[in-house]
Amino acid sequence: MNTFYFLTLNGLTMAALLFIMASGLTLAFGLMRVVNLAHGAFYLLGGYIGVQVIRDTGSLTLGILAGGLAALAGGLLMERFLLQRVRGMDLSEALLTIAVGLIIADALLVVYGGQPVSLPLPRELRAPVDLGVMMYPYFRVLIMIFAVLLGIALWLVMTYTRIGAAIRAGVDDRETAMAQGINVPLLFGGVFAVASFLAGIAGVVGTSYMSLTQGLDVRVLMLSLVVIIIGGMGSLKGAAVGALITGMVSSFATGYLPQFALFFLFLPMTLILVFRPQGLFGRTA
Amino acid sequence: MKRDHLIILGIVAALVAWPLLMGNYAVSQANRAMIYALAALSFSLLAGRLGWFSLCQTTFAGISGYTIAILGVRYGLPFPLVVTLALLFTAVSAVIFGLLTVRSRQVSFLMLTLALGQMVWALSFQWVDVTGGYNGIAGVRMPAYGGLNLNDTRVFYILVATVTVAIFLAVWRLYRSPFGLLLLGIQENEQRMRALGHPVYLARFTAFVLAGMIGGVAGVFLVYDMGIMSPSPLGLGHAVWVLTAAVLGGYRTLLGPALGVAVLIALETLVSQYTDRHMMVIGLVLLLSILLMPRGLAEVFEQYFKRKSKPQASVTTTTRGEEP
Repeated sequence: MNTFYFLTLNGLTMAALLFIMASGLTLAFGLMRVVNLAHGAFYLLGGYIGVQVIRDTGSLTLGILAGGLAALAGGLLMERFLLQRVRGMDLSEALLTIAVGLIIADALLVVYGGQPVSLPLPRELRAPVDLGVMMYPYFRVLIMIFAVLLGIALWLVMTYTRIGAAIRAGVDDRETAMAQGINVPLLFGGVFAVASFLAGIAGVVGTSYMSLTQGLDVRVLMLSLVVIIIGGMGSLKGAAVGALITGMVSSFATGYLPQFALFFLFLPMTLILVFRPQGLFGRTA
Repeated sequence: MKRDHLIILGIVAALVAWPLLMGNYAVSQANRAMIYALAALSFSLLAGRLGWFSLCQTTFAGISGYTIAILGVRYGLPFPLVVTLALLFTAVSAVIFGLLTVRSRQVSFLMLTLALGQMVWALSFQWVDVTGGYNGIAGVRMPAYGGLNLNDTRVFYILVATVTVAIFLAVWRLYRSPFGLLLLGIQENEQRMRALGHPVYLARFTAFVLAGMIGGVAGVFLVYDMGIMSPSPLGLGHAVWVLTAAVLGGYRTLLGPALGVAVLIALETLVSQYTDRHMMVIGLVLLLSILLMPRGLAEVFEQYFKRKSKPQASVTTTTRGEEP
């Protein structure tokens, strides 16, 4: 029974990380039909920069912020100087993000080497806390709380603010939204920046769960894609549910069938594609 | 027509001359180039005709390669049977992947093929009992028939070159056939083709399975060329390598993918003297190709030659519009 609780909690931690990664990605995709395939590389970039800042300053908060800002800078630069040149050609934009992802990941390998890096956490955050059913590391509990708060915040912004309304209008009908005077390119830059920032943050906090290594960028990207394909592209609710499903499957498959752990991750995605190609909460185009 | 035949003759002549003039290393490089040209052709068939950019064509090569390694090395089945089963298994995988992806378009197709390809990679990596995991399966060898040892670089070259030329010719015919034109029509305007009564999904599905089979053939040669099957050819790096070669060479043309592979291999050989950052080079090539030359080298050359031979024609037909 203890294993069951442990795997459930691990699954929830994974789901929280996946939600932080995928929520921005899915909004950017819904808004401009651009899938940022450099998302995994931004995660890695945020992670390495964040860990370095934590080592240098000893401050976890500064590290998380620095990781997020590094990824944000990368995302904004890519959006302004590369993606805008091929705006409107969805595939070219996606291919450009692949190229940028490769370059960033390879550059990080040069700078930080191939050795796995883990997050230097203060002892009080590493220590387990009693959750009633079992002891569980405090920091992972914090990650879950953060993901829930982030979800609520994003939902509030999307539902009750003018910016949220503008984003929803842009997702529904880009042309009409622009005709109404909504500055969709600016909005897109903003959403893209937030998405990259979240990828960077996820890179720092996620390092407490999965250490940074070569190839992690592709794994993170693949997991985020699975989440938004399951949930439906452009849907925040979908990202949450997709993250929960993917996190749980990942944790339990790793626990019980390690040989097929990664393979099993794709099972829910395949089923969704067969029976509901637009994803759980996606709309048919 | 005449120009096309001249080009084909020239290529065949070059392929015949290469092993006669060059050393063993150059011949084995040519083997590798032809194998990747097949993979790039498999990619371009979908990208150029349907606008479907696939990141799982190398996965089909990997599936076929693993089938050969597992059945040939582990179970010691005879060579012709192993190859047949490998292609059969690739076809089955292509049918399954095709059913899952046939309704998707453009960017979602790209994402789906990325996810599906990585799924097979994950399986090859983690299912250690069958695939050997990270270390893979070594000792994949071709048989020797009498005095003819297929493992010899030059004998292998003849085999690969023959099959590669045959497949390129077949795809050349396919591009000109009504089916090939239908695929272009679907890329141009799916609704119209559907309204005209063409089975759009069936056509796309058929193209997907055909392209998968070409990838499978590439995989057969790949595994015998390397002598070992490991997860790395199924990774995203290889898929992007093939994509980059096709985009660089020009995925809309028949010879563009082969040209791209040749240029990319030459570039890598050149660059490897200075740095071992291969992925960064590939990333930069892809970036620059998309920004500066989205139609690829093949079309750049084509336009250059057209402009050169144009002056005579343009005097008589001044009103003729620019050809696409």
